[in-house]
Amino acid sequence: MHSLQLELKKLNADRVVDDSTFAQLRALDNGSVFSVFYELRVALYIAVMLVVTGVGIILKENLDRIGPITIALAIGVAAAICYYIAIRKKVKGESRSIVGDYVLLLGALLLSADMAFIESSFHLLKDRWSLYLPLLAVVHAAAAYFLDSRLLLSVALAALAGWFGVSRHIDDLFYMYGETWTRGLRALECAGIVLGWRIANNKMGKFPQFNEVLDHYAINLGFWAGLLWCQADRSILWGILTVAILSAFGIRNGLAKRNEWFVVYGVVYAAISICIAAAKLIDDAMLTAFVILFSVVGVSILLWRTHAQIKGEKV
Amino acid sequence: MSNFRPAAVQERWLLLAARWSAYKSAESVKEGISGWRTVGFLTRCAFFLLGMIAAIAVSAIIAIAFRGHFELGAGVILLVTAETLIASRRLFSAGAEEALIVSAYVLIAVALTTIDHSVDSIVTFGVAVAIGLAGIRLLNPLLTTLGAMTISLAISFSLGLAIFHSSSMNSRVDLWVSIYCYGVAVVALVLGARQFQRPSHDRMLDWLVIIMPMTGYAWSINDISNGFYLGEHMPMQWYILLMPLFYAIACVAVGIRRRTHAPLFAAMGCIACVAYDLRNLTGMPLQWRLILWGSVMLVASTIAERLLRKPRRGITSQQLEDRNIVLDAAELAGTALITPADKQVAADTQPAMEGGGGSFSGGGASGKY
Repeated sequence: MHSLQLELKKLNADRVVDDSTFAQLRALDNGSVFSVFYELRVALYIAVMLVVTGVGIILKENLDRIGPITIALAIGVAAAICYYIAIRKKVKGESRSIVGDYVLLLGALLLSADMAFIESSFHLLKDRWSLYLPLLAVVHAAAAYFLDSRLLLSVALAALAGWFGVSRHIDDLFYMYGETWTRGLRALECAGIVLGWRIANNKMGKFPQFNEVLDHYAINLGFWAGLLWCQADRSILWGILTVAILSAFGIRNGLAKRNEWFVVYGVVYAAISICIAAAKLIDDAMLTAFVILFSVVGVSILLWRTHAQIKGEKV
Repeated sequence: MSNFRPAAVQERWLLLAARWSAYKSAESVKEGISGWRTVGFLTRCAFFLLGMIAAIAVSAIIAIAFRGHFELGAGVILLVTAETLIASRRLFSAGAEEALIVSAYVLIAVALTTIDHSVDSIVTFGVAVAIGLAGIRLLNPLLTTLGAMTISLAISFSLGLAIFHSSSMNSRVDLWVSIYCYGVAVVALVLGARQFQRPSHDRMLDWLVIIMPMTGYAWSINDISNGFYLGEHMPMQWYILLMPLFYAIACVAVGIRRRTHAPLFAAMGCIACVAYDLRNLTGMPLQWRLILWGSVMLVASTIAERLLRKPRRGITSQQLEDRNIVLDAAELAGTALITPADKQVAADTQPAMEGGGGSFSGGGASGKY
């Protein structure tokens, strides 16, 4: 155990914190008030993950035994109950608890799994089967706005990215050969749509808490497009250019908004693309190592300076 | 004033500034920190990654220049660079210097343990000690825990050679290694009751309390991976089941009594191990077990949240401190990862689409590779 009591007393003595704040901080530090909020959050995330994984396996393996209609109905009812709990709270004008947030997330994930299952079993959309993903994205986005849920917005964006064929597995970035140009282009298109959504959301002004989520998705999708292009010889220059532009934008935006995340994105993605490009374009191993070393030192200095600027510290 | 690392009191001020960032620009805090500089979690990760790439590049340059035998030279260069960086910039937990120092220690350890010839157990032990020492030097709990975990690997190699004259794994060796891991965890749990001047020492113990029992469980099932069966009375099977169970119970009691998070997270991890070990007991298929355990967790969390909404003996389910933006981002990214939005699932059962559009994915995709 450790204690910050002495330091808090000094802050109180120097009148940096008033007596009531001092009492609160002291209670938090010595554990006389103790929150298990994060333990609950982790437990709820794991619970939702377990249930959704279990449902996914049922959908995959028990089709013949249980029958598609029964499965679709059962999961649909479970999803509806989850949504009903959230909607009831909203109608009553009560705020959702952390458990309510995760029950709603569970409902959204069950709905996603159910829609995919219904489409694959009954072929309702026929040749246009892949449209179930943008449909899902619209449904989840509408629910996110209606119920004011960042988690649902994230589910909607994942469905949208899925429709564009953007993989969520990092290893796909490094072990994907062929089709990189098309995949990169789709990731960039998706980033563009999310950016447009972000601008519209900002203009609407009612849900500023969603801007941050949309920002993260848009810039990451853009960077993924750049990194995908860096994989193939014919698109490497486009990849470097895309990453360079997005890095400059990310760092500038991060500095303007004093947001460390965008600066880190800009610097880290730039460093990765430089490493890939150096390994691909330079034949001499020694020269490659030197280029990577100097680039990494350069971007580290850039990150240090921008970090200091954001925090208002001396460089 | 030392430039080697912050004094205990300076470290406490750094922690206070990180925990309650509203006060970090106060004169008392600045004075307490005495010029030591640190960065947030995300920037630290970025600097660590960049530091690792730089360490690999330096090692590659030395290896090419001196045709092999690069470890000692590269290690010394990285060590001098990192120490200079710390002393000149007064860096603490900034990422880059951590990557350079751990790389340097590991390279030097490898160089020293492979002078004549390399023996697996000695090299592993050397690397484990190097990682642990780097952790102690930098007051980094991740590295000290990694060191303790790597020592378990070294013990496994050493016991295998000493008892069975083979470096291959064996269930009896695994048992002793597992006992070592649980032992470290229990010692850390007991020591956690002490009042430490440095918050980092407390964190080192916290990490050991959480990670080592799970490492111990992993070692114990290394050779016996069938899970627990009723009717079989093998002592090893009971050991595998009961160790995480007893440890979890102890952790819950300690966590609530001391009002600390680490034992509670450790208990959650150990309960997951117990649940995994009991997987054969009911004969239920995997999917139903997942749903059952998930539902049990959901219900238990709901009850806990409701019961603790109003603090009971000071314990509450309400969020009391600032939003944790790293956890928020991890939550959103995690949500995206578990969202069933993979077109391949649907594509597996669909007839190939013949109409126009892309060939791989996106609108109008055929699902063909």
